[in-house]
Amino acid sequence: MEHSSSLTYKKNGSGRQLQMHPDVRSNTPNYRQIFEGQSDEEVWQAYRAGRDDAFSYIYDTYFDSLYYCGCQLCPDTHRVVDLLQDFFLELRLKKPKTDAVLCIKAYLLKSFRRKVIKFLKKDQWLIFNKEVTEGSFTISFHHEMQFMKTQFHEQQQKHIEKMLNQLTPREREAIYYFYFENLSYNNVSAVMGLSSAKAARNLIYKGLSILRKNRHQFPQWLQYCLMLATI
Amino acid sequence: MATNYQSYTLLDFITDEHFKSWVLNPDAEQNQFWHDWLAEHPDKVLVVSQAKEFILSVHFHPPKQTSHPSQELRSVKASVYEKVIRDAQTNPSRPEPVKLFSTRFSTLKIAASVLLLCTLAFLVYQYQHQEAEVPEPHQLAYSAKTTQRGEKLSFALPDGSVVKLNAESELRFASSFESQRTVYLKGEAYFEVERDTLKPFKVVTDQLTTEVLGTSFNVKFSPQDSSVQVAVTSGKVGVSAGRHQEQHYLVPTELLRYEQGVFSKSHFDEELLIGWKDGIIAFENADLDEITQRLSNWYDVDFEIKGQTRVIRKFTGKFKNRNLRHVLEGIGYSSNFTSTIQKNKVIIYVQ
Repeated sequence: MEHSSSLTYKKNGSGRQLQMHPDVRSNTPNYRQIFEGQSDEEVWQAYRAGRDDAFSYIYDTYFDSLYYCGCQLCPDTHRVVDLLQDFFLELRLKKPKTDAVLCIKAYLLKSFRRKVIKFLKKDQWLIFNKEVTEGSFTISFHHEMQFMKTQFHEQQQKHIEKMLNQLTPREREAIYYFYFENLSYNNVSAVMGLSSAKAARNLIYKGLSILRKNRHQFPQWLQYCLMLATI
Repeated sequence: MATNYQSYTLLDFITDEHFKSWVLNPDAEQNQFWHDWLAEHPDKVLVVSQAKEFILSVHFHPPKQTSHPSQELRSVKASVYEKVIRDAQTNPSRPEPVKLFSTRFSTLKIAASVLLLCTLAFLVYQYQHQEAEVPEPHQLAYSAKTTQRGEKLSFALPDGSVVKLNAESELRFASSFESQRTVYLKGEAYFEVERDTLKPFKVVTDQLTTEVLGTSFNVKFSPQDSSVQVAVTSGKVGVSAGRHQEQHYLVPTELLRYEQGVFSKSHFDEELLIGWKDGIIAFENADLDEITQRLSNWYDVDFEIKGQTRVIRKFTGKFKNRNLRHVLEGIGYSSNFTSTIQKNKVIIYVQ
């Protein structure tokens, strides 16, 4: 499928991060071994205590997530890189007041998202530029594991993709954090500034219920479903 | 994981936090659970595999212009890291500026408040001061055109706008319209303004400012009673009694009167009100007072009236490019008077 170009974000099993750059690794050879098994809370405590290796570990682990998220919000990737540099420099220089962070990824996504949106608001033309909001969080729907038998044939995949992209940007953004970043509802709501985990769930559930409404559009597997249900 | 998965639909599975977590990030414990659960519920195998595939199939397209494919992103990541570390060292840990502010009522806070108040006061002062300055600018070089009684003048302004100045009027304006297009009027003038949306054209008359982008309109300011009339023949005109006052908008055929602080709006007869610019002198139900006043202004003459003015009928009619003798004959015929002209003096004999 044409979507699986090099630009499409890959999901690599559990950790969807890219491999770290050898340069980064050689500077601080141990941090990955040290912090790999630790909980986010412990890593955060180490970082707050001023440990450089904890900072490097956080940088290495979450850079890609923040970069991808920033690119969804702001189409100017060079600007995103500038913002990231600022963001990490601030993180390095002054420790945030929050001392107990249960999910570093959600915490960083939340603060970086705020930073990007603040920047976009300052550059007002970006907000009024239609392509920005229309283009952000565009979903493509396809199965990458070729060897596995797919449940959705190509026609259905295209249809689902079309339906998903008709959702509001907010719904797509929530779907992004939930599926692509594997955040919990609680963290999705924290990142997007929603009132509760329930609000985040409702947002995603409501968005995805278009799949149910359009059941007649994929009759083949529905038939299987009904058959199996009756048995 | 005591959830009742048996009643779950495809949508329920897809949106279930634990299920999604297992699909994206499986661990041994969850693998075991789902393996066992599916063995117990073979009817759910299909829907679970669909849900699983759905979750794994959702991808996000980066915006079109993304210039960092994964290979390149790694080097970006490394170079940004180096910059961050380097900048952090040249800028060694700022001594926690946060603390200064967190102390309640610290001197800094008070200083900031005082500074803020001072700034505000200064801004307010400047704001008001600016407003007062507008009608009396001194810095620029000004030209003025004036007309005497019986005189009319037509000329172009630095921006190409055309002005027709009626009798006994004065228009002052900057010799250059580079920064703004503002003119100061006493009396009456008709403007045909060149369009420039970046620099509005402003006519300042005593208390009123008439503002346009590119239109034709007439402004009449009578210093005696400081009343102003603004009449529009094309385009849109905004009139306000001060910079922060409400603007009154006028469209063609509309007339705005401003008298003793009160605005009133009506429609107007073009020939009657601004016919003067085309050499038309028009009257509607004009009594002798108005007639003599208009004619003396137009032809630069004084009037002397002999007889009972009350018996004179009001006059309605117009003259285009006519001499005074012709006009007096016309009005006299209709209003029942005769007249003689002696140099700059007209004597009216009421019969």
